[in-house]
Amino acid sequence: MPDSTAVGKLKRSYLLHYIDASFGGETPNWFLIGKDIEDMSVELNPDTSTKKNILDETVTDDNGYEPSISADTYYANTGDTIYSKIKDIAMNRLTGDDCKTKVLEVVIDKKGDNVEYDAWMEDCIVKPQSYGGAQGGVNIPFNINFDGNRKQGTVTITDKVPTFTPAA
Amino acid sequence: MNIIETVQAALLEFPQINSLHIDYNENAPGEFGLYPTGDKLIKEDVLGNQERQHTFILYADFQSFNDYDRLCNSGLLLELQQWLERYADNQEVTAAIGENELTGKLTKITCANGMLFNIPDGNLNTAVRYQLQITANYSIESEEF
Repeated sequence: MPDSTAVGKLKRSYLLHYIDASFGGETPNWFLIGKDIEDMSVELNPDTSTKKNILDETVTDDNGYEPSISADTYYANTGDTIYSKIKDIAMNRLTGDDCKTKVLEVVIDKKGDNVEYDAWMEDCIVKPQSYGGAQGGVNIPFNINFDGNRKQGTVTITDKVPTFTPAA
Repeated sequence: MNIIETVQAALLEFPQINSLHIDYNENAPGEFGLYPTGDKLIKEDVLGNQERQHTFILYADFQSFNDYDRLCNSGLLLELQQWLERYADNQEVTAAIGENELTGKLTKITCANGMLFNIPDGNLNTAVRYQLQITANYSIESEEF
């Protein structure tokens, strides 16, 4: 019997990435990224190496992942909760913990009322890559480098505001 | 207001347009008619927000007895074009999708080909018709998430 809560083929908008605009505040202020971005992926950057032993067998060392996201378009907008921090990092050349916040990944693969979506939260470093850009708006593209402390859990979304609950 | 109503409202704010019809022109000097010619999707971001484009032709009837009239006519179209291209300032635009009303913003208006289009009666004693092609870019925000 088909699962009535499954959504079938996931639209791109069913994979959501938020970053915490409070940058270390007690209560996360999730900002949804992706506006004006036509193509955005989590690059897992798997780190593996292969070598051959004396038996001519190939052995692979798996050193894990170095995931990151490139948000290649962010038009500066004073109405965005993330704007003041992105401006601060870019213009004051902030580094280290001043760039540290959390990233929340949500997969919308269920439908129905009061659905709890699978979600993962992880520390991350937000690094603006440049500022300026072409006519039309001030573009401040930034990278999000995942920084460990990954937690799996669930998210409920009410009035476009996600609430993360870590798995027990 | 949808994008057609938004552009209609923009044109009616122009001081020298007092009468503006939709898909219709009266053949009399000072009459304007706005003709929507279609809407298309320009791009969609990963969240489902859309950037769309709607095109229009504005037909304007003017008197054209002599060169002075015709210079004024082309001058008015030039003035209107430059005024319209400075008009867009994120005014709210709505789009009815089924039972949902989505909101967005007017982001840009550009114009082209402001020129004499037709001499309806075949002589210059009555009104002649000019055209101005108008392109309005606007965004529509996704209803999801």
